[in-house]
Amino acid sequence: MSIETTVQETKAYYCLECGVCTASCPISRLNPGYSPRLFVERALLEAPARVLEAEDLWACLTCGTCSQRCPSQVDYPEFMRSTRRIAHEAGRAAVATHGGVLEMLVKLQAKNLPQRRTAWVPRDVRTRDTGDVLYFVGCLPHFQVVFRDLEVDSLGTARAALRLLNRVGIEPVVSPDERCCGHDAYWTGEMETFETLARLNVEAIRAAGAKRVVFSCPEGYHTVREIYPRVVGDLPFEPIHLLELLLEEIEKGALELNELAAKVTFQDPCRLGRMLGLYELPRQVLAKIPGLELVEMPRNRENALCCGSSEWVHCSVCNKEIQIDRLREARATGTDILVTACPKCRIHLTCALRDRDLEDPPKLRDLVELVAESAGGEAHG
Amino acid sequence: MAKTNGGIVVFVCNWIPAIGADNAANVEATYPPTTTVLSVACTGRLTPGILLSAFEAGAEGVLVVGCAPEECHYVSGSLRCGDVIEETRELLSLVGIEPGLLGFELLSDVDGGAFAETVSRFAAEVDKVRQQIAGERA
Amino acid sequence: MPLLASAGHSARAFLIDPRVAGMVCKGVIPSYGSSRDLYTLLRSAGDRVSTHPRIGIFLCECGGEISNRIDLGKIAERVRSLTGVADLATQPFWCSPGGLAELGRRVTDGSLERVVVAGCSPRSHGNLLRDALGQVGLNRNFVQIVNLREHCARVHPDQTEAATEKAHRLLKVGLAAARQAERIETIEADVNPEVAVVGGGVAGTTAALSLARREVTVHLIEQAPTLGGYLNHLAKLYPRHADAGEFVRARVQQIQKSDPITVHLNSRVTEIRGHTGAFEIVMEQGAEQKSIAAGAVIVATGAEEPAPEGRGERTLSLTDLESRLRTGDVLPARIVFVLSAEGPTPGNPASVAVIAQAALECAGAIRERHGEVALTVLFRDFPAGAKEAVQALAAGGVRFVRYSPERPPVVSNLGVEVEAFGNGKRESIEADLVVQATGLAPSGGTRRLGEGPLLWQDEDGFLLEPHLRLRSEEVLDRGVFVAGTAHGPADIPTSMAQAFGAAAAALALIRTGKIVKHALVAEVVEDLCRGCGRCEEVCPFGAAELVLRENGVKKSQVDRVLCVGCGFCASECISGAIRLPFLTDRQLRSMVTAAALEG
Repeated sequence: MSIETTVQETKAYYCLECGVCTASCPISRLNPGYSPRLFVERALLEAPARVLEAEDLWACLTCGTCSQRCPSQVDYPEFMRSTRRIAHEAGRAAVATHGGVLEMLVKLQAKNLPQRRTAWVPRDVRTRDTGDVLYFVGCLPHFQVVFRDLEVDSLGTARAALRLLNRVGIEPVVSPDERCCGHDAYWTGEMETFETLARLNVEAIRAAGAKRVVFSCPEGYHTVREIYPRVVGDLPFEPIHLLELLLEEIEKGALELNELAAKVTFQDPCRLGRMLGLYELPRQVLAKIPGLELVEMPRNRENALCCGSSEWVHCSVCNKEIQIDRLREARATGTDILVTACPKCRIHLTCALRDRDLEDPPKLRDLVELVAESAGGEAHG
Repeated sequence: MAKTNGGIVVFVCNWIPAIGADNAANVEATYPPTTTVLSVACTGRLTPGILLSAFEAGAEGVLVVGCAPEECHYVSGSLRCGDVIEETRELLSLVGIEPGLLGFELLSDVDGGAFAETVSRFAAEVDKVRQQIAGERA
Repeated sequence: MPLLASAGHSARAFLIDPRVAGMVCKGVIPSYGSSRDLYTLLRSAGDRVSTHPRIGIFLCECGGEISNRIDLGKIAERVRSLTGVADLATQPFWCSPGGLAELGRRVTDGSLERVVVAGCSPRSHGNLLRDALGQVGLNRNFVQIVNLREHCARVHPDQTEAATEKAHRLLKVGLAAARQAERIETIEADVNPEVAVVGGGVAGTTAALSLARREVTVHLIEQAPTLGGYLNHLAKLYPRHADAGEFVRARVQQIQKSDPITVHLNSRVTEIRGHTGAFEIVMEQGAEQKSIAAGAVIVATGAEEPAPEGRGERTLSLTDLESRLRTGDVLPARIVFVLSAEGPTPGNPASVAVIAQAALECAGAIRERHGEVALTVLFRDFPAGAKEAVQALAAGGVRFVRYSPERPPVVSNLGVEVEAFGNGKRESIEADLVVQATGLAPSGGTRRLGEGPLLWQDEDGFLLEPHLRLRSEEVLDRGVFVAGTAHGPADIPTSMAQAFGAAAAALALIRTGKIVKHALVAEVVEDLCRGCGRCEEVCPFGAAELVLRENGVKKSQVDRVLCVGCGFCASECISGAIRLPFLTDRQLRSMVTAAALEG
């Protein structure tokens, strides 16, 4: 693995130096010293060691806004990821946030230890030890502890997901041996950890006998669906997003939603939107909620502004400003609820709300929890 | 589970516990040689990330020894550390590591015997927990 | 393009955008997020990222103490070939003059950049070794001391194999520390030779005069129009019945005659800012605000007796009564004192003692000047030394009734209901005036200053000096001292003793002229700082502060003189923007990795 191969694989040598990437980059907008275009140029011209030492290597959000618009279709996030992998192998590391606790949790999960992560499942929810459908929980139980001071109920999404699945007649497996999907390890270049996690997860899913694995987390969904096959070959199960399943059930008539009058706007998650092309899916689900009106932010779908999360590394005032910018944009739509569909968006936007006293901030609601509330009854818990 | 070759990492602060550790030598107290003492200015400096990194690196157990709250040279360090320990234990449990393998003791006295006793007691506890786990797996 | 060339870049760098080059030339680097100019980054990256320094390992036999229990030869073999080890030697006593000389020689001849000395506790010879190696130009943080004696040889006797394994592990920890160690500089700061004394009461004036005798320039700051503090409300002073007014007049005269003392009256101190050696005392003088600079500050803002419940014509505080005595008012016929010390600091022995003394003096004054008044004193306890005074007053016609703290007297319209201690006999004592002495509470000034970051309050609101707990020779006096009742209830001799003490400490500080300390302190990486302020919230010493920069961005700033290196800010910072260069997270992690595994 070398920068040269990275350049080839990501087609970075097609770069026209047009600067659209830098103009699109949320970090560049706030920090004129940061430039994706220049970084590509340096990789093409400079000695590899210097590229690997750059702190900017870790500042990229991998949100993909640049690649979305690049006329040469340079895969910049992949270019970052690959370079980070080389940097990691050369002993470089990013400045981790939260004292590195998230990174440590991921590494610990890569050891072959039986996990103890299902105590959060409510008593009234029906789950199975083995079955056709498995609900992938991911990092939510860990987020619940680490971000307790932010008062973010990360597991709220999972509880709502289970209740909705029960409501449409599915008793999913919640695996005691499931682990973090490895998204952050992958995107920060820690391939050994990532590959181990991938194998352990596939094994846990296989042991549960699941044929379909349901995700509510866009990062988990993207990672397992698109990246795992590169490590484990063909997946012995079908990954599906919870919203896809719910939409089917709603259209079948198996899930009835009640009136929930509200005006909301929606934060497209980078991994669901730009990386998987699933822009309409969450909107279709929102449209099924009677009385709910969606008002789009000016920057929506492929132009959506990333929430500024960055694999728990290199979080600086830039990230904070991006979040504040987005929160203001949300409020400017005239709605007072910003709907998120990703645990990271939720945590990061909540953190920004905490740290900055915005006049008249929007309320944050999770999409799955909103659907559960609309479904009412036992689905609402 | 096979016996690991992990030792016990003991974090001490530079004050009562560190002096106690030195004093242990003067009163001919002993404790297991599988322990390694690392010193920080105050236990309030420790984070879940640092404590977890010890387990990640292969430690069998981690003990944090600080000063009693009314003795803390930096006012609130022991109390801060107490919160950190609680959070870390929750996280350890989630990832399948027995929370009792993370110990937290506060000393009011620089007596060497007290320090040695604290470490030995924890090491014995770690052994017990490990055996229990091995027994359950068998 | 000479500028880029001088920055040490390859010829290919000339192709890079001149806009960026311009930013390098002008040094304009906006402080948002990852703002480091790419080229500046390249230059500075080398300092932080671990290179492969040349390390020397020096094993100490400690005259046999270590070598008899640990196989040093075996360890030498195992570590000699580890990455970065450029030299390895064993000696009986590295701390001996010969040993130190040899160390220095090896460092110089071998161009060693890091040193690991494995011997006895850093507490024994750590400074000696660091100083000696400092002489040959090695930064003190590049010297790691591994404790093979107290932490290994002595505590694992008769276990040579296990002890040797452990010693090997300890050495690996030391090596890990050495590889990641960063340079620690020395901080020097000037000390302003002037001292500010806040509060012109007993303690404040005592301290000011004490310093003035040593020819220290003193700014004596008092919020009232006159000096004297609480003494201005009292009539007689315990134990020798001195007249309070006389005492104050004499004091004021002394101060006026003293050249080094500048008195600032009608000046209310609102804030004390800055750090040791360079404080700014902000005060309000009427509508104006004024600042005074000083190298040390003595806070003597005192305490006050709080008003009792139902204060009015029939219920007064002890201070109220004393004031009446001073002005020579007519007193009612029947007066009952209730000494409860139940107020702000319930049961505080100092409070009880002070109240008791004051009450006795007051009673004595009443006896003297208003002999016709029927005086009853209801008390919980008197300090042992007061026995004679009590007996004298009792002989002179003052009635003393002791009550149990569990059943305190009850004040009614007619007088006071009391249950006597011991026999439990109930009595209703008629009174025209009830004097409630409940204790002492921090004064408004004491409370106000206690809220600032440089002073701490106990649970009652009295002031504590932070430096009381910091005993390391690396840490200086904080420079803000407390004397008198601002500390807690105290009598006059105690207040004066404290004032002398505070003056001596302040004198010692300013005589040093310069603060010199090793930078074992926190450091902010501004680029990563998000301005959230968590660091400011957790710093117990007021060293971390959020400041507004010109470009409108808030950034954390650490006062290196105030910082004691506890690391709370670093552990609290979400972005990792605050770090401790003398023991970074990264360094600690690599030490932990080396420590975690046996063998």
